[in-house]
Amino acid sequence: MITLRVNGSTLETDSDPETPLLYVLRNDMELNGAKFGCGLGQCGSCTVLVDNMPIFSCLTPIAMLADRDITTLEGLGSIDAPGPVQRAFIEEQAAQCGYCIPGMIIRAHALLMRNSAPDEAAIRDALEPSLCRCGTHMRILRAVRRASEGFQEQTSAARERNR
Amino acid sequence: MYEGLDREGEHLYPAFPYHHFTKVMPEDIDALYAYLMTREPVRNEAPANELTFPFNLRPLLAGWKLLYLDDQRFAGLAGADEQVNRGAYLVQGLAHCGGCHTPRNALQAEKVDQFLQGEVTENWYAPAIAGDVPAAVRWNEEQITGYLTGRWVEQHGVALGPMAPVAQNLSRVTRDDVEAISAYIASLMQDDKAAIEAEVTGAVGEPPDTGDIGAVIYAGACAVCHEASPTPFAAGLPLTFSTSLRIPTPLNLIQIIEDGVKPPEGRPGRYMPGFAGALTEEQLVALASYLRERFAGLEPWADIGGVVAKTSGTDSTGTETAEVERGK
Repeated sequence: MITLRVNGSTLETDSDPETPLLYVLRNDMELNGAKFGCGLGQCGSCTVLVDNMPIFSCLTPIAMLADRDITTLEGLGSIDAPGPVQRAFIEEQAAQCGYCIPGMIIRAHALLMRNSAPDEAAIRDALEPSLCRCGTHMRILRAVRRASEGFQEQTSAARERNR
Repeated sequence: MYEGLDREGEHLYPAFPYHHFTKVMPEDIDALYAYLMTREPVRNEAPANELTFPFNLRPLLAGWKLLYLDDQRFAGLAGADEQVNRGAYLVQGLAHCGGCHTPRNALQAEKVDQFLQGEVTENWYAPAIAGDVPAAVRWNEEQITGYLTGRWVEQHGVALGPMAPVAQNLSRVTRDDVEAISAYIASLMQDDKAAIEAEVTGAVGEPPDTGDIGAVIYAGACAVCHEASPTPFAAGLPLTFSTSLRIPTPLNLIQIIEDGVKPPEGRPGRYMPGFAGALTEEQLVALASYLRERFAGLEPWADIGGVVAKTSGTDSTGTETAEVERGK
């Protein structure tokens, strides 16, 4: 039995310890935000956060994840109340087929948590492990820059409040 | 280039490898000079000398030179053919492979009696490339040439870490010269690996069912590419062939697992994702120990936990990631 902590709730699973996290998320928990793309850690569409770091869930056996915090796309917001990065992606309409977008949003979110005002090079560097075949890169970058403004406003608002 | 002096006659630190360039023939130095003088000058302020006392005292370098600077041009190898001779000239002089691959003493001078026997450099280990080389199967000259020019070599892999830019540069060097380097390096390697070569095929038996977390991680995260990958671009080296598992330190293995493998910018090549963040330090130690034992048949490295703790938080160039982020 392995206990997984996903988006704040826990799940006991008796799946094989080698089972990739992605399969448990999609098949058992019906969290379909993370996508199966290549299964080789090459495309990034399966990316989720573990302890706030982006990881490929297709290559992460659940045995590695006991007592760690897993956050999926669903954990960043909902359709009614999207998170700041999700909102920016919607506002910029930064999706074509959309398959890579969950991974892009997760990576952008992880970047902005660490650094709310990344420069262009830092954004490109952070998104590099995620591939987009539609060629939506320019809109994706624009969405991350927009989300960065949102994060900065949030940070300065928090600072004001604490003053 | 020969004396390690700047234009004002001040001593240069041997980080600039003049102790190798003493081997280079004057006509090659002249050619370098002639080429450099055709370039547009670039304005640059050299950073100030921030070494601590007494290392900031340049006159002390005169003593270092007295001890370690061998001002002898390359004299040729006795009994070597023309190609091997040319290779020795390049390796000992302009290519100065010993700068990374030869162990250094406490005063940072290369130990001449341990020429190319392996040394830690820039947070990676530059393995022995002479004598008892830590490869599973013997390198042949063709494989060395492929490796030196940045290509993927079956049974050995691809140049990584600080060797990657070296290979990229060598891919622009005259083919004859790279082949000469390979011929010389091959001549320095011990010839007792032929027997092993027949046995090692890269195939491995069923893993022992120990419930070891290292074994579970290998099966769930590594095997999909390192054993019979479904696509050639993701095909990892079967780990029985890994040099990184056979060197005296886990440095290279840890660097590769954490940061993955990327071809140079804009070039095709094999890609391995990095696992930094996915693995805890404890899991990384377990995985590295399992890989070394199962695929190289060797005892786990002694201070592996210490190396993992030190390497985590630095990127593949050895820069402190934390520092980079602070700077942003």
